[in-house]
Amino acid sequence: MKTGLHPKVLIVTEDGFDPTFGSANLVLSRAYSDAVSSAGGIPITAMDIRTCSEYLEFADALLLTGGGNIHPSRYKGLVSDMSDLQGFSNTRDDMDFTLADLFVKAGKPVLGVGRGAMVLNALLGGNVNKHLPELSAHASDPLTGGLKEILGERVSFKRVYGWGIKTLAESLSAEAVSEEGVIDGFSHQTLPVKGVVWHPERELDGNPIDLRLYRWLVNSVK
Amino acid sequence: MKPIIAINGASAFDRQFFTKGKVAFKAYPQAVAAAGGVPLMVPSIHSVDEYAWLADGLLLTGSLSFAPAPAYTPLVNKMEEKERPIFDSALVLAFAKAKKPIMGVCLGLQCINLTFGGTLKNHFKLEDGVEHMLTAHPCIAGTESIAGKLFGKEFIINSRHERRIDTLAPGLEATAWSPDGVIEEIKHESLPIWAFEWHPERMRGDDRDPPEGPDTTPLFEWFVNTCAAVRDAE
Repeated sequence: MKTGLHPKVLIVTEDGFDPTFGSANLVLSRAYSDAVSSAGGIPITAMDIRTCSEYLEFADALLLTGGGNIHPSRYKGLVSDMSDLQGFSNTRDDMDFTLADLFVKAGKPVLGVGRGAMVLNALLGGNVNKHLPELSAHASDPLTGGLKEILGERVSFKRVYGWGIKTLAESLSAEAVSEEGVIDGFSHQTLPVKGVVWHPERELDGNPIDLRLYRWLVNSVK
Repeated sequence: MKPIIAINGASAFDRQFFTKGKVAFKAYPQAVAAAGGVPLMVPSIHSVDEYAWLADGLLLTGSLSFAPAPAYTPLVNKMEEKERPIFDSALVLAFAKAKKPIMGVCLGLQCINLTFGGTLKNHFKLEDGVEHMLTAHPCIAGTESIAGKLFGKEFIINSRHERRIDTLAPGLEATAWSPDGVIEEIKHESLPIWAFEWHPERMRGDDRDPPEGPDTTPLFEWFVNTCAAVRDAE
């Protein structure tokens, strides 16, 4: 629903726990909401899975954020070691996959960063590599397609995950591939959906905050 | 469309990336969603006017931390950041200007009182000799109390606060009290603003704090329905 306002970008949160009051909570890193604001959007945050269809109705775009591992059953895998479930939260998986499915099917713009890229790939039928081979900590990937149009010839980032994309969903195109052959970024072939394993909203290891993908998300709202 | 209820997160640190974050206890959105509303966390101080435009009501939440000893107050203030009272007051003023309903809880009640010109007493237990942090006690409801209409003239509530209202702001009135004289509920005389010093979001379903208190789900249903009624009247 487009109003006279700037586009409303729905952001998903982490699940947390506050030991002081013994209570479950939701945690949003302000790096995400600040990036959405700076890119010209209004950041709003999803809070309850029962109202996902309402979130779809009034939000214009979806930002899938970073976080812990996805349950292997989401990509037809098996839990083989407890490390597979590092940072795992079933309520977060439910929320992220439900919203991603709704927004992708509605054709609304979706950007996945870090874990968010894994969610998109798994949702659309791709697979996760739980234990990437030894990779350079500083990636410098050549870009193609839509990511090249937005970011130029190459992207440099600090690799913060030991997991990554194994096989890409059929509807996605690999557009950032490391020299070791690991897929670090993709675009959907027909829909305004993109995912990158790096975090452009963070200043990491000398790489400055890069708002260009966030501007793409906000500007893709029709 | 169900009413959209904006919920302010508390300033805090995101433990995954060790950066600034916004945190909200799940009890708030769960109470709103169970009552038929759409809970929406509103994180950015840059979009306060837009939030007041797109949401049908505001749930102003309580604090994340407490300092039982006055010596720790500067530490808590540092953790909670200067941004929170500024952001929360800006939300109150924006929703009040839009004449949209506001429900304050604990720090939310205190923020509403400060925003309209009232004062608070910090660490009142030292002066009054009463403990209101992580205890339970009766609530004595006056005739104008919303909770009193739903739960009766006297009912048991939780208590989790180090500050209390000292002087009420112009336009606000007290509608319920603890037996030792702490203001437990307020309302605005002309705007759709209500607030509670206790935590109704922790008194729902089977796992209530305190267990002898009423199930407060009807209080959230009342607020969500009020937001819908105000929206539909326009």
